[in-house]
Amino acid sequence: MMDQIGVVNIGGIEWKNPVATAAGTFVCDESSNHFDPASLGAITTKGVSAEPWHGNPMPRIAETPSGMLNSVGLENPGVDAYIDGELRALKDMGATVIANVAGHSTEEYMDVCRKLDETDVDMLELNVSCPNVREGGMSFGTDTETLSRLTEKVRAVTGKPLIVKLSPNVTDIAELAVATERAGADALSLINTLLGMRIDTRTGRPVLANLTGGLSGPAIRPVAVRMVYEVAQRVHIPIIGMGGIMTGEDALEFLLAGASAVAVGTAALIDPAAPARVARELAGLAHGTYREVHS
Amino acid sequence: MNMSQKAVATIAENIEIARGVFRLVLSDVQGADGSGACGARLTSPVVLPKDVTVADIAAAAVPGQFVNVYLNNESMLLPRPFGISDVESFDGERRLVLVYAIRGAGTAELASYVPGTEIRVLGPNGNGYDLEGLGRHVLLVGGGLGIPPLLFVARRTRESSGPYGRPKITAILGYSEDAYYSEAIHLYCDDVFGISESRHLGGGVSYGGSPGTVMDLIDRLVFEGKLDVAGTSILSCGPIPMLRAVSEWAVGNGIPAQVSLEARMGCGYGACVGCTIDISVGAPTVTEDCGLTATFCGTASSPIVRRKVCKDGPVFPSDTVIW
Repeated sequence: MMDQIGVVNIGGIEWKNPVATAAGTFVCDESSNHFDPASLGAITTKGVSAEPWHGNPMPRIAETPSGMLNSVGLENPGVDAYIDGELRALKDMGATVIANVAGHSTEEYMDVCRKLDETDVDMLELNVSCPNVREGGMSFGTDTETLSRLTEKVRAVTGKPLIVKLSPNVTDIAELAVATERAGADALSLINTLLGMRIDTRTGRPVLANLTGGLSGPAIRPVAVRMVYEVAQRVHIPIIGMGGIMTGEDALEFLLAGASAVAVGTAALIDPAAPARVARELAGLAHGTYREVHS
Repeated sequence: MNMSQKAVATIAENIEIARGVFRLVLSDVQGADGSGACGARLTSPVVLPKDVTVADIAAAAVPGQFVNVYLNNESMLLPRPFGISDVESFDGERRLVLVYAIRGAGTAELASYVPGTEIRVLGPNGNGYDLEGLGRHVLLVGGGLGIPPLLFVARRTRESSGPYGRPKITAILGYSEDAYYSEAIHLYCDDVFGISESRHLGGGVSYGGSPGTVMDLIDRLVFEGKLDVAGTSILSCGPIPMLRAVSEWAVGNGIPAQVSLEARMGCGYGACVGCTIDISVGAPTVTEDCGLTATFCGTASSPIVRRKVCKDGPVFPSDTVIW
């Protein structure tokens, strides 16, 4: 019974259960000490770019009520190091791996996807919604035309199932979702972080060196649930819902809103085993509410 | 490297030892304060099922490592990372001692937790000091909240025996106001000198007299011939400007220093990439040109890499840090 509900198909890839990690919150060396990556539906790895990126200056983390701001800026060692390192390690452990792809330009996104197309990575997730990168990043994800063009171009260079991760920093997320589906995306992830800011009243200065950052955690969960609900009415491709999921019950809320799967992000920064715990809790809950609603 | 693991700890002691500075003792035993009473049990839905006991974390800990402390408050989710000030034995039980200061709403809330309260912890985190191969004289340099962890360092250094046998240990402690932990550290040191930025210090250890910084005190002691430089190894913990000054002084005198860096962390265990810094991975050597290492001179001989303070540090050889 649990297995029937547990297994989901996202863009042609079978996940053991509907729970993944969210990009930027899983690091194989550290996280795999706390749970078996192969036990989850999928592991989404940290945004990877064509060349190494140094990210933004520190401080780049700030706590907020029931959440946090980050302005890490997609620091990563580049796609070549990723392929030989973390991707290899995760595939050896038997995990289903989603590579989150970042870029400053269409060409960079395509370069990374071309390289990943030749690996055994299971799925690609286009990060077109990071608010912490000046060129590229979110600017690709907030304009319907630009996002459609990028999705089409990337679609043309890879046969891997393609997920597009949408930004909540838009007026109508459903419109972008529809355009992305039309451009060839196999699934959608939503939501990325909400653009936010904190100012230290003692110094009068922004807490983050980058001034602004992306808000995540339970604080954004109602916004994320609402957006998943709106998008689910308009698209036919699967939705991976995320935004402040801390428990199995939170995950269930997203599934009830129309998501086919969920991803756990900020919770993993507070409890390294949170993704596995959420999957267990959800499996327990799935006997009840979820099954009734979906039967 | 030690692996961070989760535990549920019971607060055995949480007392103010200086203005706004608290000593937090974590135990595995309910009613560890001796009252027999149980404080608030952990009820958060975000419970971390525990992997290990506080005693396990304490047994695995080495000086320079830290512990993540999580508040019982879902509006303040991020861990508070505190350096391990000591591992103490009480009734045959190993306990963790952490010292923190009230800096914001989170630490103010922590200060309100009464003995018996259960809190979640993760540790030991990061890499501590390398206590192998220290010189015949060990100089501990601490500033502010960087001082209490030097107690753990001093004790383990005293217990160790390097290539020169038992090292002589001198501690230089810099406070912003009143002194704390100097007497405890003195138990394991040959000499302890303290200085405060805001007042004259008096008491049972040798104080620096008039107000000033750790570097003022070091200069004074060197001038007075009270501080050996030859054969010295420095172990330092404190605010970044102090560590940088100590590092430059160490490089200028050609002596090795290990510094425990402070950084604003997110997860505290290596996942969020919030606290990375530049580290030179070459083997810097003192050059004749400027008397500084290749790192400080900015030559290309030492490749620079990104390192996480929480996971790869917080202790680094000072001449590898790109300040």
